[in-house]
Formats: sequence, C-alpha cells, structure tokens
Amino acid sequence: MASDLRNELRFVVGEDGVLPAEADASVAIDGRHPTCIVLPHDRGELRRVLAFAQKHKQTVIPFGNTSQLSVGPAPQSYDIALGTTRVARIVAHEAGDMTVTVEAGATLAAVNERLAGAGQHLPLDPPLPSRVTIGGLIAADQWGPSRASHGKVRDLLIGITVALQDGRLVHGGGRVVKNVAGYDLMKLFTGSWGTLGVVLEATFKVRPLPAAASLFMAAVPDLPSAMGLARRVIDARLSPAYVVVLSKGAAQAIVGESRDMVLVSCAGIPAEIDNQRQRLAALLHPVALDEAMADRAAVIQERLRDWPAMTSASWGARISLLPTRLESFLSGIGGAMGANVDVVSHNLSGVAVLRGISPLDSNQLRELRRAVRVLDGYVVFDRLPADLKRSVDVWGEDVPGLDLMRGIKQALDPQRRLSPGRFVGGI
Amino acid sequence: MCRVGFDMTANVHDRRALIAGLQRVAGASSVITQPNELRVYECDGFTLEKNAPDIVVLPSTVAELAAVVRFLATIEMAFVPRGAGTGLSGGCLPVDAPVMIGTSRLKRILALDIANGRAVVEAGVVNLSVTNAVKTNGLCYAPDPSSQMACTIGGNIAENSGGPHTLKYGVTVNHVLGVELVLPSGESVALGGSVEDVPGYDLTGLVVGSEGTFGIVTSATLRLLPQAEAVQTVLAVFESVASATEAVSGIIAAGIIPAALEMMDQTIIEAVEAAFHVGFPTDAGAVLLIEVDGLAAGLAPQVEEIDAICVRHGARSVRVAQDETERAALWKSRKRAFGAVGRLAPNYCTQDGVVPRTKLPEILARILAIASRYKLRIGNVFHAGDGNIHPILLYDERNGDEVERVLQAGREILEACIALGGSVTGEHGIGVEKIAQMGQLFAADDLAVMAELRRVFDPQQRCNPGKIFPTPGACVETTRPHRQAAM
Repeated sequence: MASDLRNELRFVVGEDGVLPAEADASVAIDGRHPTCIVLPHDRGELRRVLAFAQKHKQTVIPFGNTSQLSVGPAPQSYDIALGTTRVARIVAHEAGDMTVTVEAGATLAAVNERLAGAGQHLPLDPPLPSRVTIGGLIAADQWGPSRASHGKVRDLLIGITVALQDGRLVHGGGRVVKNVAGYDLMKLFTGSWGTLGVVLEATFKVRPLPAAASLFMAAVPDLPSAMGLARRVIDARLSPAYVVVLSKGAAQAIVGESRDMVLVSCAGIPAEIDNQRQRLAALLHPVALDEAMADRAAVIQERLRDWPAMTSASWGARISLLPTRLESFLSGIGGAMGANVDVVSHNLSGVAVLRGISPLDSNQLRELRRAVRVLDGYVVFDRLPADLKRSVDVWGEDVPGLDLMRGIKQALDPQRRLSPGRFVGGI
Repeated sequence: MCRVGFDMTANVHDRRALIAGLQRVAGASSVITQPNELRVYECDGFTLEKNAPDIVVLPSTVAELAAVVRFLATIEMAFVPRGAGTGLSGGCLPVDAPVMIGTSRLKRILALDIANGRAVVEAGVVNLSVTNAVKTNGLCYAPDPSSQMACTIGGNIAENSGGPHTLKYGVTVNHVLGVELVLPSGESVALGGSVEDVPGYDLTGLVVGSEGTFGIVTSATLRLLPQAEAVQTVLAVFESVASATEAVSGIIAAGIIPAALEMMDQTIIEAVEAAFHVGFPTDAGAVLLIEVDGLAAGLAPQVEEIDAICVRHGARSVRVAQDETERAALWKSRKRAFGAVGRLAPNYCTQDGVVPRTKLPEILARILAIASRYKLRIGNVFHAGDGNIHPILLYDERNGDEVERVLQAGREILEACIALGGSVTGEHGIGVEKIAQMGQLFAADDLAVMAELRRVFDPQQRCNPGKIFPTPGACVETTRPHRQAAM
C-alpha cells in the first residue's frame, strides 16, 4: 500500500520529489514515522500533493526545516511529511516600499541576506535563521529577543497565500503596509502550527537596519537582583531594543560567565546610543556596566538567539505572564526548582524560555503550569519527551476560545487531514 | 436570505412585542423607538447611504448587552452594532437588521496597569480618553485616528483603525491583546488575554478588523506605550506633489522611520489655510508634515537629515515647529483638513485607497487625470509614509450629473489602486461602501473561506449583515446609484 502511494505521488512531484521516510530521520515525531516524505518543486506541485492526499484520505504534516516538528502532541495519524524547502524563491523585494514577498521554503537568513543589500532587514530573530524557513516561522510563530522592539510575525506579516487541505488557494492581505480589506487571514495562520493550511507565500513589512547597535551587560549575585535591575531599566524608558535576564546557567552558555545577568541591547543612531550608555551607567550604579564590543557582541547575540534550540535540555517551557509577575515568578523559581532550570527571560514582553537541566515528572510539570495559571499566565511545554506528552498537555487545557478554534478547524479542514491532534485541545 | 424579523407597517404587534421584550431585558430607558430620535442613527460618517434602524438599544452594562443579544437570538433577529458612529464606510448602517445595539454607554475603564502598560476598557470608551487616563504616568494608547476625540475603542477594533502615527507604531491590531466578545448566540467569550503569548489560534487578531460581523466586542485589553521622550515636527513646502513624494522616498531610503509622514496637496492647503491660518503658502504644490519622536538626544541629527533630504528634493522651505503650540497648530490643520474642505464645496466624498509607497506619484497622476476627465475638483490628503491616500472629491449634491461623476471617478480611483498593486481600504473598512470592489481584490475562494470563518462565529449571519461581502440575497440594494456626501 505504502509503495503504491509513493508511486502515485511520483506522478505528482516527479521521481526525486518522493523520498522514503528513512531518508530523513528528523521528520519522525515521537518515534512515529510517515509513509513517505514529499518535496514538491513548486507551488503547483504542492497544491496537487494536498489534493492527492485529500482524494486518498492521507494525513499530511507540513514542515520546513523540521526543527519545530517535535513541538506538540504526537500526531493522531501521519502519512505524508510535506516539505516546503524547494519552494523557496524570493519573489520580490521592493526596497522603496519596504516590503518583501517570499515563498515558504526560503530561509530567514536568505531573505535577510537579500534585504541587507538595501540596508534593510526582516527584524525577526528566532533561533538558527540559516535553517528556519519562512513557512515555519509563520506556522510556529517563531520569535527572538527583538520582539520587544519590532514585534512578532503578526506585526510584520501583511499578505499571505495558503494552500488549504483540499488544494484550494486562499489569499489574505496584499503587498501594501496598511490594508483592512477582508478578514485578517495573516493573523489566523500565524501560529496555527500546520493545522489549517500550508503557507505558500508571504509578504512582510521590512525595516531599515539600524545605523548602530550596542550590547550592554551587568552581572549580579542572584536572579532576583537581575530581575530588579531589569525593572529599573524598563521603568527608565530608555527605548532599548530589548532587556533580557539570564540565569547563571544560561549566562554561562551565552556570555561565558556563570553569573545572573541583565543584557540590554540598544539600536539606533550613534547619538541615541551614547545617550543610552550614559543613562544606563548612572542607573545601574554601583553595578558595573560592561559593553560588549563588535565581535564579542555579535557572538553573544547569536548565542542568545540560538539558545532555545541549542541547549541540551530534558524538558523545555515557554512562560507568558504580565512583565511584573514574570519578574517575581522567576525570582522565586530558583527556590522552587533549585539549580534544575536555566532561564532566558524577555522582560519587556513578559515571556521566558525555560530549559530543564534535570528531568521533572509530570506532577512537577503540571505544578509549574498551575503556578503560572493562577497568575493568569500560560505555559507551553515546547520540549517534552514522548512519554511525558501523554500525561502533560503541551499547550494547556484551558485555552480561551477553544470552541471557536475547533469550529475554525472544522470549517477549513473538516476531515482533519492536516497535522491532526498536534495543537490545542486536540485540534 | 433575508432575516428581517418583522415588517414595521404590516406587523405593528410584532414591533410592540419586540420593544417590550427589549425593554424587559435592558430596561425602558435603554430602548429608543421614536422616529425623530432614531434618525440620529441612520448613518455613520459615510453619509451617502442612510437607513434609520427600527429600534436602538443602548445597554448600560455588558450583562445587559449580552441579555439583549440572547433575546434577539431566541427570535432569530438580525442586529447591527454601533460605537460612536464615526466610521467612514457605512459599517454601522442598518442593512436587513431592524435592531441596533449601541455600546456608547459602556464607558468604564475597568483597569489600568501602569507598570505593565495595560488598560482594560469597555467598548464604548472614547479613544482619546484612554491616553488621557494614563498620560500623567507617561503612557499613551498609540492608535490615533482623526476622530479620536469621539470614536470608541469598540469601533476602532471593528475597523482596525489607523491614524497618522501608524507608520511607526502600527494600527489597532498591534495594540490589542485580548477582547471580550458577545457572540450572536448571546454567549460571551474571552479571547486572548493580558499577556502576549496565549496558546491557540490568534482569534483576537482575527476579530480585530472584522467590522462587527463576528459579534459585539464589549471590552478589550490594550497595550499602552511609553510616551516618546521628545517630538519634533517639521513642515516642508514643495512646488509639486511629485517632488514631495520623492522627498518621502528619500526619507525612507535614509533609514528614518518618522512617527508620521503626512502630505496635503494645493487644494487642501488652500482650504486649511482659509480655515486655520497656520501660515501655509497657498501657492505651494504640496506640504509635508513630518514628525520624528524618540530619545531627545536622537532627534536633532534626524531633523537635520530630513531637512537636507527635503532641500535636495526641491523643498521651497523647511520649518521646524519651535514649541508645542506650533506643533499642535500643524496637527490641528492636518486632523481637521476634512472639515476645512467644507469651505470649498457643499459636499465631498473621501476615498481610502492604498498603493505601494513608490507608486504614490503614479496614483496621484492618475487621480489628476481622472479629475480632469470627470471635470471634478479633487484634493489629496494622505498618509504618505504608508502609501495610504485620501482623495477628497468635491461636489454639490444638488447637481445630479456631478454626483454621478463623483461616483464614477471614485470607483476609477480605487480600481487604479488595485491596478498598482494596492488595496481599496487602508483604514476605513469595506462596510457597505466598497463591497463591489471585494470581488476585484479577492478571488472567489478567498471570499468563500472568509464567509466560512464568519459562519463559525455567526452561523445565521445575524450580526451586522450586508457588510464586507457581496451577498446575492440582500434585501436592500446597498450600492444605490444616488449618493450624497461622505467624509
């Protein structure tokens, strides 16, 4: 049966468009393998693969570089792993309009390389940009430290083309930076984790590269002091690009110093940065302000960006709270978890990435979620061993608006062919 | 399919029963039924089409509003939500909906969290009152539509409103973290929340800009931003729109993102000068209003660069507002430009097209050609940084032939925007005004999917029917050939 399927798919995407599941171990999810991997060469082929899957009642899980496939519960069924990496043209960069239109398989690094030629960038900085694809960026709503000043995908994505589960094409938005015609489909598909459609093309607003940037650092004795210092910086309203707090373990990996730290990035014209440097130094006194110079700053920023992906952790979580609550919650986390967890906290946004050093059992993970939920926050376990996923809900049980979300899934993918069971509430 | 609950003349008893029912759930003082009072609600800022609702309900609490919607659900009656009625595309014009539900009495600011930059407000809170409530704390609510002294947060959410400062700060959706929504079934749902990353689909993002077709937003959690430490406003005067547009491109190319970048052409300059006497040279081809904000230390170099760029592109003069009074006068001229146009002609109609920024000279040339072909006077005021144009077509509604020409010219302008890769609305919404253009902008499958999404929220399509989408079975002809005036 599986080989019949593969043969038929070869008619759709050509001989080299169908690979056996063994060809790429990274498409396996919690030990579960697809029947085959399909890599269409263009958008037309990609749509025909979806139509084929619909006709033959095959379930499809779309992927870009596979790095986010491990997030979410194991799929309820998994026939075709549908890769977008060959659909990767940069369709248009209109430097004067400050927009870029790209196909889903293009990597963020490739897009930014093109934009840099015009002194521009797409200011999103998730881990491993040379691997992360535009489709994966949107579907998994990936972000990095710069969200504090530039926002996330939802703030930059202005147009989208998506293939639905039956192969129909749907467009939202356009190529202009301001547009309220029709429903905002960009918002719907951002962070939909491959459960509603497959992104084919996207148009983003881009921004000028800053004329200058500086990275300031301060080391303090403990995490509560770091949180307090970060709060002082935030309250001073110096317009930093980001304010990040690192626990000792994270600082060891990122900066090479095993001390709790505050990192403040400033970007703009030199006159602004000079001003920020002076004010930061006065604000932090008597804590010493260290300024990372060019190469060292670049290395630290890269490690900070890639940290959620690179660190070897037994479990991982993303916590979202009001910023002041995040500060106090994380200040106490050392006591609750001891040295078992490393933290990178994005204090302006109220989100933190946790990486567990030693394993926790399902009760401990549920307790972590409960402690955050009573503060009106959310925990997503973005890294969990397969066995724990069976007893701990990756996304959380009480998602607001879940009935409407199920209704949307039912409307756009009634037979549940796309990434079934991988998202909130079993969607 | 029409879902009008009753016919007013044929079914007086139905109307009485309906009024009694609404009074029972919302209180007698919340229900408006007198024709002279209902006339207030016959249109919004888009005045070309008017249709008074049969009954208006103004609930005083969210619970009352939900009870009204539940009651209407039991009798399967359609309704239209309304904020302050300052919309510009007929979004709250009653179409096949006898009952209007106004949010204007839901005025409470429920919570302010200064440290975290959050405000929870009811839907009827006026846009400017949010900033007024937090400005002593050094915060502001960034979206600032021209009608911000009157328009409500609920209406802003429905339309995803913009304003002059969206170039740098984004539109409404970038500042809304969560909403409470009363679904057409009467059920209340909370979407999103106070924190940034809530698991699940971004339903808050989907609801913002849905033009009241998913339900009635009763409250929202807004993001508050620190006020900029300093602001500088520059007025640059040009001989022509073309050279002003080149200066806009030059500023953007230099890597400067001004907080606002607004242009007015000669027709508007004359009107504004006559109304406000701000010192605009009435023989100039265009003026640019450029605002930069941020750290005080960074502004002088940026203003210098902007000055140089404007001069390089042929600016006749560049003036920096010397104090807050001068800055306020410049902004007043811009925000009230529409009103000032009232001096030039008895009526005017504003369009809301968008083009890619580099196509601004081309769209302006086309507008000029369209104006001359239809023998019309068209002024232009627009958010040049966003490519969002607001051509103002002047006319006299007593001149039927001129009205026809205005309608035709307006359509051609929007079609030109589409042809140049743009859109038919940057911030006013589709409403009833631009339904006809949806089919030009989107494919049948796009519209079908949007309709499917709508049915998830509103299976019977009872909430704000007749908006956004071409509906073959609509009972009222919404694109009447005879139009009057719009702002």
